[in-house]
Amino acid sequence: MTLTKHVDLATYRQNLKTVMETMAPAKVMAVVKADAYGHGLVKCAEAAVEAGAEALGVLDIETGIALRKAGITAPAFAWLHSPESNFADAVLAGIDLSVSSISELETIAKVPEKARIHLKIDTGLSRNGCRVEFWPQLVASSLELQKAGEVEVVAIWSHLSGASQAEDQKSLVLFEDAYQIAASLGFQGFRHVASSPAAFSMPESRFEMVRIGVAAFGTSPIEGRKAIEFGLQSPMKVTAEVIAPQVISVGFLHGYFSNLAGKAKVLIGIHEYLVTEIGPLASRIEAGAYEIGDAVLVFGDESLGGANAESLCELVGTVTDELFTGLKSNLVSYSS
Amino acid sequence: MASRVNLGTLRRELRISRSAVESNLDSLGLKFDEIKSLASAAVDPDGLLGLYGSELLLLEKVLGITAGVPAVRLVGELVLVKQVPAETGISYGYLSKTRATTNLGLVGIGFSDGLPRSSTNRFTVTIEGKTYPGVGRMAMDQCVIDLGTDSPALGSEVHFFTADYSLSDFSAASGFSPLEIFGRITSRVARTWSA
Repeated sequence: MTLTKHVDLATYRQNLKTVMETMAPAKVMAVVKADAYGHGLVKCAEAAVEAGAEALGVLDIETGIALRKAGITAPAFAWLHSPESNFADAVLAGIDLSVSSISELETIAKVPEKARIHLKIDTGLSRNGCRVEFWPQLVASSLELQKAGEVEVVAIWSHLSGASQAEDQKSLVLFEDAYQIAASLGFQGFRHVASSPAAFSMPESRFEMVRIGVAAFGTSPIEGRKAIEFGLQSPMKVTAEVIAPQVISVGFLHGYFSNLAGKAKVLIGIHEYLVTEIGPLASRIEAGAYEIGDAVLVFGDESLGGANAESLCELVGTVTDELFTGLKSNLVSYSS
Repeated sequence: MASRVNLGTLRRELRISRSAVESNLDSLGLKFDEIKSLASAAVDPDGLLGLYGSELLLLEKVLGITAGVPAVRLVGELVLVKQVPAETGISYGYLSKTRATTNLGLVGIGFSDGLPRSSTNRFTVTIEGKTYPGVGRMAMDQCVIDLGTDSPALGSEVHFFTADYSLSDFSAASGFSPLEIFGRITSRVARTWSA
């Protein structure tokens, strides 16, 4: 009784190449946080490097160190830190670090090796990032520490809210202002602001680098449009099997949302069957001409017919990131 | 207060209280030794996939997920506090805005750790026993809380699944069952036992 996650790394690489062509001359940071959106951290990071990604976005230091332990030496960038985070190990491992405040800057500058830092400006999201009023001081202090050989200020960056095109335009104006201030103080590094949605819908947000996560995993970067319009396909398919009359081997503990019951369909052979009930480890489907042991496509790429991650998530009003990162399978099978 | 385990990293912790489990076991007429394999499964990110239906029902009772003494806490970490003015948009889509000058706290845990994304703008957390509302979109790895005039120390533990907003409340808000939410908690969340 198994649920299998199949990840086609060639599709992931191809998606990244397609994105890189669209974004050029801006470079691409492949974001592989949350176990590469449930696709497998190390395998996807290796594939991203092979595809030519400039850097890897890892969210936190622990993920960056996991990549280094696996022998992946590509530039990696971490932006969510705890005061307890091991900055010394991070810098030793060559992981670039985001800095949002003077206190973070001082902590990071103290480590023995020279830290590569990306200064973050808050352009409206109110999460990490330095408030505009403290920005000149943060930049000036960082550049002083750079002169003293304590840090290297490699980039300035931000996150957009995606609230609307108009709000994102406002954020970009704030970012431009922040860049002008930094440049006037002597900053010479690169800029990155856009993740998948802005990178595709607002070319002016690309600057020198974009951060691409979910688009490379086959999700449309723009709401209301299909991934395939951007040349993106889904690297993941999930298969179960028929284990008893009208029972298949996927349940909500595998991450198949229980509120999909009565809405989602699965594909067996060439026919689709409604999922009528979702239990912890198995689900009930409509009767039909299938047999015990038959393979069941829970979701996959659009081209396979049946459900895909986006269509499933639309049924329950969420995004593919939530589906992907919550999946727990008995088996992961990679093709390269 | 449960004892604090120093993880040496960004804190994402699923903490199970041994005394709450013992109390639930008492009402069931069971001893801890009799449920050892179940207890191991509870602290293994994929452990639930190997259980039978009857074991899952027992686990719900032992952990106080549906009834009994709640034994499960999800613990995140306060990584940033910043003061923002009124009318400041918060998190993706600006689904919440501040009404007055306030301190916002950033918590390093989100839906890719297993918190339901649909709990956006609905949940509360506690820090040192004091309750604060979650504001704005529950994001993939982070969420924002409104601290008002408070400014707890960075690194403070942020507790989810509390008496004020329990696993059942998250369940009601998200449409996922409590067991489902517990089961969705991902492998990057450390599993620990507390007294």
